[in-house]
Amino acid sequence: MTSGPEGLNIVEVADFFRARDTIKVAIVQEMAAVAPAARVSSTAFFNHSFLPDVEIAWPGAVRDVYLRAYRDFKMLRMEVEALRHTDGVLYLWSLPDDAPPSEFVDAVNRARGLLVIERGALTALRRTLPSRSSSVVEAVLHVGHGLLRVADVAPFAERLIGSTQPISLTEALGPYAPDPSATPSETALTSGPHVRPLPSNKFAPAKPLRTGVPTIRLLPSERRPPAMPLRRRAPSRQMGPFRAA
Amino acid sequence: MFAEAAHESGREGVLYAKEWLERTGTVTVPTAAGDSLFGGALGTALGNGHYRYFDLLGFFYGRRQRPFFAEVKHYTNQAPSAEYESFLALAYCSSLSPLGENADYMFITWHPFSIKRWSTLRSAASVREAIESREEWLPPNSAISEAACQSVASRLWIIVLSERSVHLQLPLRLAKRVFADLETEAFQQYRSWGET
Repeated sequence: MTSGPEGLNIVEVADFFRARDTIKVAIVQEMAAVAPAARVSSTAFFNHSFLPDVEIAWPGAVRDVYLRAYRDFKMLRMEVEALRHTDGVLYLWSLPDDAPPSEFVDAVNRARGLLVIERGALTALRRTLPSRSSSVVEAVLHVGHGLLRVADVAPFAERLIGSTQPISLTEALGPYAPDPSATPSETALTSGPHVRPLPSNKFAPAKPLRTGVPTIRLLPSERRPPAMPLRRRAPSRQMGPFRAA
Repeated sequence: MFAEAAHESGREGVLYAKEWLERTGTVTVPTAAGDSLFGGALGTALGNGHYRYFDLLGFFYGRRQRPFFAEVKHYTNQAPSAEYESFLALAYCSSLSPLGENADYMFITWHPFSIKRWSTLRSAASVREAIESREEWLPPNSAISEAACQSVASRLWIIVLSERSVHLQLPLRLAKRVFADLETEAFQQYRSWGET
């Protein structure tokens, strides 16, 4: 009915857990290499619907990393929507070859705190930028949001390297800069092709990153609360399983 | 357009079932259809040279980390009777592989089906009937084994979800806290408990 299976060759249960551990180690190593000021740790979970695969901890903030390996933009869009309130990192093991459709890009844009990165993009960015600019790469991982693919690395780096004027960290982050309310304390960077790295404590954001709870995944028929008897009481926050953190 | 809507509904059903299972706290479901890393593990080679795929692969927490495969049929107005027969035949073929030898097989649906035969849907006879009508799926030069039919039958699940199933689970905020705590040593012990 279909062609042969793709992906890793899993014959026995032990094969799966060995491969899983190898993949988790690779992700941890990639994150640790681009974020030397952070503590990167693997969790006990893998591709869990609402629990992270990896945690990255800076002083005063923790960012969760969720691994997904779907090569279907429709599935990935659903994952972006489910994680849109987490302010975490959606780590995509491999993106489909074609350009992301507008529905996917729109979903990423609506997930204002979520950083969606393709495997290897941060490493490629670190290698493309001068070594003294590595702090910018860590800043992207620390507070950045939006979609960063490997294909986006070259224009991002070009914009940064080509700057001839001192630029702030927010300007350096460009489209990946967080919301203004969560902007890290800004320090002007030196001009020219080399950007002076900031001391690591300058990366502490004005307030800790929110570690929200992923939105409950709902089927279309469920996207309205069940009928409940009305109760007369003072207005309060809507509670219930449909409420994201 | 209609086919695409059906595909979309199918994807939603798979991800919903995955999360529902994970929120029971008894299993981990690391692989779903479309996974480029472990998606191949969902496939079963058939005797006719083709492959058929389950929708989910998971493992029960416990000492042996027993695997399970799941087929998800997110139908709201169509009884998946024919799909269940295919599922039984696929489960039989899968059980012949090392990964499926001790695996459970779950059929997850939103629509009850075959009500008159409901009590016998997980019987060895149902498994045999399903694979007999698909003999080309069997490995070459192999006959249907009654012992294999009985073994598969003992590992079958039929789970009927509803649009209200989510309301009977831990709220997500609480579930996250509970499961995060499970990463502690207590969880390590929990994961090694039990017959599974």
